[in-house]
Amino acid sequence: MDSEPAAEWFLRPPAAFDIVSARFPEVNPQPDGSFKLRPALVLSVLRDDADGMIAARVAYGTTNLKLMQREGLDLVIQNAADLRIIGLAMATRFDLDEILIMPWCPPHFDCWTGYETPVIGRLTLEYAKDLAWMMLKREQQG
Amino acid sequence: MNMKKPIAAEKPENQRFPKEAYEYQDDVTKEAVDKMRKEVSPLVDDRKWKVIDGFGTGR
Repeated sequence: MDSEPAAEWFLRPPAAFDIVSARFPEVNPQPDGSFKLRPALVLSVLRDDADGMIAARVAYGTTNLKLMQREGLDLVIQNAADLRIIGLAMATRFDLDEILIMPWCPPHFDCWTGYETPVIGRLTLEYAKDLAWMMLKREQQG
Repeated sequence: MNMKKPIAAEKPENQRFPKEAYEYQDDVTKEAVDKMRKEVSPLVDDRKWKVIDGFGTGR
């Protein structure tokens, strides 16, 4: 049976609550000037029926946790066991203030070294519930 | 700025991750996200997005 080439990951849309690798303009960019890949949380998946284009609304992750300032505002994953299940190596805060829609294709999303898709992992049900609660609270606060 | 050493998953598990998994200490600033927003704007603005999974709007 033929397997699908890794380069065609963009034909398979991500799912809400997936953790994916997305480009972000770091202070210190790559040697070639391109943006580095970092984890981002997929809040929703969008499609334009006109041409079938897929995009994802994402919240970027950072290891700069800012626990005192951002508690209750952002989704923070720092339990070592949870990190392993979700597919992250480092404690991560997903910043829910700055949400962005990006086309589901390279170079906006791309694969970590050794991965065949930008999808790194997925939130557990517990974190997905926390996220839904935070988003609801944010909506109510305008 | 929080300069504390980031918390990592336990050592043996760490070894399965590529280098990209450890390199995202920069904060998520409005300026940085706006830079990305500007870059993708011609591709995503003025489209009629329909949410096919998750919550929120197409904006």
